[in-house]
Amino acid sequence: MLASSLHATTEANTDTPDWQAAVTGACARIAPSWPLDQMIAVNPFWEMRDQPFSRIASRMAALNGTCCQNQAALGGQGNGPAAVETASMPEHWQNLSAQLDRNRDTAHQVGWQDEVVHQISQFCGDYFQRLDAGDFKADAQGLYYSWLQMTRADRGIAIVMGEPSLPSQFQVLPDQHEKLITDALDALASEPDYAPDYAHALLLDVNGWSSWAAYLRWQARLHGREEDLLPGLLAIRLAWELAIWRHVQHVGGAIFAELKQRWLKQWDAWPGILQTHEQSQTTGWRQQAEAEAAYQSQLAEKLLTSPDHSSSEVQPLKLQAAFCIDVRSEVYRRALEAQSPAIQTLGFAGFFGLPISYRPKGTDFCRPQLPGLLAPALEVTEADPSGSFSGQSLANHSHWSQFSNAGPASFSFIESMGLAGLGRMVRKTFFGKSSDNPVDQLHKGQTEFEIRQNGALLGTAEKAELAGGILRAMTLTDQFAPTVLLVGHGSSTRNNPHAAGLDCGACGGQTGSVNVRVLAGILNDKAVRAALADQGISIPSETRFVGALHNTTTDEVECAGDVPDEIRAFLANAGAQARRERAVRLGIANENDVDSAVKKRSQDWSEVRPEWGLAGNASFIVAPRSTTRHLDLGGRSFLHDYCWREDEGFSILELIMTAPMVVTHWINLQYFMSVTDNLHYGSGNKVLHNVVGGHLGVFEGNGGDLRIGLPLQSVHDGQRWVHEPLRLSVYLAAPREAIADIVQKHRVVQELIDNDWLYLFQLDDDRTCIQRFYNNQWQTVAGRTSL
Amino acid sequence: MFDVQAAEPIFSLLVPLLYATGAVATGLATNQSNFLARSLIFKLSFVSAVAAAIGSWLWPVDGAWVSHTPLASIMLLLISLLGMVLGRFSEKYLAGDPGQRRFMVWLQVILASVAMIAITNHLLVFLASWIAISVSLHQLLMFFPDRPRAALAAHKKFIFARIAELSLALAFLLLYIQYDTPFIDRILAQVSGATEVPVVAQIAAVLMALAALLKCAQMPFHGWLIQVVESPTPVSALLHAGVVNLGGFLMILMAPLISEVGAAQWLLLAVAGPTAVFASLVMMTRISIKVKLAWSTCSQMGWMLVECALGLYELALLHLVAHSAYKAHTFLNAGNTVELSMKKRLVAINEPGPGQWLAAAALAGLFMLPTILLSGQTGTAHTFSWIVPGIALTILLSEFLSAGGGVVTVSRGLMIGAVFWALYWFQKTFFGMVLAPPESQASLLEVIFVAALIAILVRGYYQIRYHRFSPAGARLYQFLFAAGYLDEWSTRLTLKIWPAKLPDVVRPRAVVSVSSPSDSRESA
Repeated sequence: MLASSLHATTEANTDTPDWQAAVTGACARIAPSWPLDQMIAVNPFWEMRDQPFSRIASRMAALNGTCCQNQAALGGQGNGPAAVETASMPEHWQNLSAQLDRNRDTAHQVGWQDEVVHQISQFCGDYFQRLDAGDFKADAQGLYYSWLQMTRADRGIAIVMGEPSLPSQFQVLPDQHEKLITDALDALASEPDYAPDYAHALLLDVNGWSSWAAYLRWQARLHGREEDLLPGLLAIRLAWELAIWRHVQHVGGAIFAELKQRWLKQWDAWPGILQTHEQSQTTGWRQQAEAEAAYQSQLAEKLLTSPDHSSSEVQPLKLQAAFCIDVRSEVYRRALEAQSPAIQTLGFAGFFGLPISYRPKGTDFCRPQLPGLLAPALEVTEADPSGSFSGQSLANHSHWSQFSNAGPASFSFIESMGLAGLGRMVRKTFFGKSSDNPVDQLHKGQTEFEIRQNGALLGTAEKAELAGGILRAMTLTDQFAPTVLLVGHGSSTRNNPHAAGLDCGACGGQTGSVNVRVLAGILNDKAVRAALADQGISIPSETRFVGALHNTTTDEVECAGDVPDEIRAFLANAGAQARRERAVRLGIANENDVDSAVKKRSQDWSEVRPEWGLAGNASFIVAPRSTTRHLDLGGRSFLHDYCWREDEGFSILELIMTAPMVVTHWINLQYFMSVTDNLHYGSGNKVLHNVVGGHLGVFEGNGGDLRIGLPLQSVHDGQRWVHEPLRLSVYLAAPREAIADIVQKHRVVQELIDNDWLYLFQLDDDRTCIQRFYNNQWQTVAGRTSL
Repeated sequence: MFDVQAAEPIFSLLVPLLYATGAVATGLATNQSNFLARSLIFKLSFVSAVAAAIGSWLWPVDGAWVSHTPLASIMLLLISLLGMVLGRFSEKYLAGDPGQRRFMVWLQVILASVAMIAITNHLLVFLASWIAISVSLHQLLMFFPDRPRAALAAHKKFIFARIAELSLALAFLLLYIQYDTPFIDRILAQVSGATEVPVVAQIAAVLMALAALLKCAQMPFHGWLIQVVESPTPVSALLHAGVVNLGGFLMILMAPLISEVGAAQWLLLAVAGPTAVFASLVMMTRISIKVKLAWSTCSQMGWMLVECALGLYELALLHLVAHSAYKAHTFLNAGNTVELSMKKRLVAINEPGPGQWLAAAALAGLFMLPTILLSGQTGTAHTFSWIVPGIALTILLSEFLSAGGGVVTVSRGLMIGAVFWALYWFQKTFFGMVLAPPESQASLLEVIFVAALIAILVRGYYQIRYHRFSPAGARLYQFLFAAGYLDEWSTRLTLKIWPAKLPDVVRPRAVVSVSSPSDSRESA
């Protein structure tokens, strides 16, 4: 987007530059961030994937000092001179407010940059909270004008900044956001070609709220609408720049002359700044690639070893269990398989292919239970009519909290009932309490669900069609065990604003409990089974599907339905083994009773590291389980079962490469950026977290920008980083031509591969070699002969 | 039997001594393995507090240096229970933070000082503990010294705290000169014994009221209290539950004097009254949970001081204790906000209409009238003291009347209302018996003033809840959202009078340094 024409300035004098295009370009670079109760991972640079990661990294560094490298967290390279090198990052772009702070005596006055971010962020908090509550509809103009009205009436800014004439600058700002953008960029953007970068830098000042606006845009697009508040937000930020500029000009004197000179100089220097950053990162990217190569060669060595065939003798299956592809499943699956050769496990996206949203019976609440990439097509509700009772008690509860939070009532409320806080505090501190997500509570014990499409109940034929597709994608079409567990997963933590971030990303940041129960219900339906038999999938009548939930914090698996005692014992033993393995990383391996120590963590309201979530994730393996069953992958791999011979036309492969692969990449980049730059793309220190608008996000402390990404405590244990920031390595056990065709067909996939957002490898049938696909070329990176 | 007279002060004194020992031990410890010893300190302190309370209840004695009043016991129990919870909570919560040890040291210093202030009967010890609290609190507020807003808030607090200390020191000096004794109980006995309070003592009372207002973060000295959510959650819990209310404690302790000095009462009313109302309304416009809670504290402390001014000391003490419990829990539980908001969004609820409001008010009246007749307490302030819970009960009942669900819900609401009322009555009576405060001598004018403030609060609440988007509502909302610009003035004046060296805000702060996390933020 840079410098397409070298003669931009001369053109600018004759024509008006296309500022709106610059604005659109900048707004299009912002990726969404989901609310806390649906917190799913996102690649924060998703909207810039059309360019190489390294170029984006240097541009981001040049724009606001974002850092995409963290050598200290890379394995085996922690303490070299490289660390020092990265620490001294070159100067980055400074917006006008930050430039002006150089002339400001910050010992006697509040800084401009700080105040601008604070003021916008406070306004956004109020505005988006009300928008979220449905108080009004919004568009970019409404957002801007709302801010303008508030700011014009505000007396506080002038007082706190000590600039009595500043408010007059807000009075003369135009009422239309488009006019404001034109005016501001006319005045400030001395090099029109760089205007998109300037606009981007401004949005990054309030990146949290920009990402929230991008989330609203994303949701609108999923529902076929085009709504973008970002230009309004950018107009607000630009309005501040223009007001400051004019204010300094008005107050005049040497400061303005100096500011102007520095400002113009910075515009001239911008290509140079970009270049300096690019150069400063070369070594870092080399080390990054080396660390990734080290992991890949280690993994390749494992993947190329033949399984020990003696154990996989054919014997009747006792249990099949399908788990989410989540890296935490790998540890548990390995432990479960170790219990008996008659156990088979499968890996599949944890929403189990059901494009549903869940509406608890008797409520007005609806939440998506599928990946954020998709819009729900079906709505499920408990079939049990007893749900309506809880509706009243929920209403009572809401009314009670209306009362206890009402100002005039609060004095007496505290005098009457405040002492109860002591009891609560003592109980939570010394006894703990298991987690109780208020929504998940509502379907406890429920196994029957109604499925609706556009209000109409789903018929048997439609259910069978849905189920057939899911079973085929799961590679579960013949050989059914008597018990088939469909295992979703969820975490259990207390007092944790980011709890949903530990739940299932494929279920939209929820536990998978609804999905597995709904699917088990469909698959146990006799009519559906009959229809499935017509499709060629015959499920033996003795086979029962049971929904289950893998608690990733405690490694307990809870079944929603009866299972034989033997299977119950398998699950319990596997849980104990998985806990022992995880205890090492949690630092409680030396405890006498690991089981209860783990359980205590999940119930402790002061625990900031209840589990390590997906930390450590590094690879995504799409292959039959037989390829990996004999391997200890250390909880670092997403595992998806796939058998290309049964995939006619490679439609399942296409689905995997366009959906689960993207989701795993999002997770991978979220962890990556939370480790390399926790200030801009992580949400900072948990002990300071301050939830905004009930669920919109967190502030770190009193205010500042809304924070996105993972908390520091989720990736750092106090001494060291627990996540090694490696880009995802994807391994596909599928024919090369099929892979290449799909890449060709989907621009998104091609961009991810060719712009270095992830690595794509092919694993051949005989496990003799691994080839990498990059820039439409196949290249052998590992072979059995070379080992 | 052993000599109770001699043993009792030991148990009381053990509490601050244990904390002080703990602070030193934590500071000197060379490794992290002192956790066991640490939680032992907190538990032992609580046990000592219980022992001391039982002792002074069963074998009342007159202390010289150490006070054995029920007030002291209640405060000691409260602070040691709070200490036990905070100590345990912070073990895990701050685990891995390089500043954890520093936190633990200062936490114990504050607990020791608060415990000392609760039990001392000596003016000088009181003053010294008071100063120790602000000084060590400053250390905790600056837990992350490179956060500019934290530094600014702590800086403001620093100045207000010094003014409060000066007022208090001067007040104590005057009391000492007037009554010729440093022992608080003797001073108060002389006050109660005399018919007139001398001018010097009156000035002292006004100065102490000023110190209380500053300590309780009343407007316009409230800004720092709101902004110190820049420190870890347990610091907020400690501050809001165990430190900010000491102004109220001072007023309750000095009740015999304050209740004789109209000027002190009016100072409290004039500052704390509007603060209680205004902060409560501002709270409705806040967007983040911790800031909401901080405004709530500001308002609640205002109300506690209003109760002191009206001579309702037993209610003030109840408020102090109950608010501590409530606020410590809500702060520590602030991470649960997402779940709570989820719960609220599950069902859409109806707002109570005019009919329901009237019915609720009538029902509340049925509770109020018999209570006023039966309570046996006379005086305008006491009668008035039933109006405020009456308003709360009206709101409670209006909610349940509009909740739907017919007779079942309404009777449920009535039952909850009855429990609310009974608990209030019981605790008011209980604290009245335990504390045995001086008779309320609030004038009719004072009561009318407070009643007017309450009316304004109800009106503002109504406006924001029902007519938020009307022109008048929008103006009010804007004014409340900006919190009346009071803190802006206070910030600017502070920086003008006494500049702070704030951390550099131009460069983005690296909360986690890119090179190595182990030296992030500070060297512990």
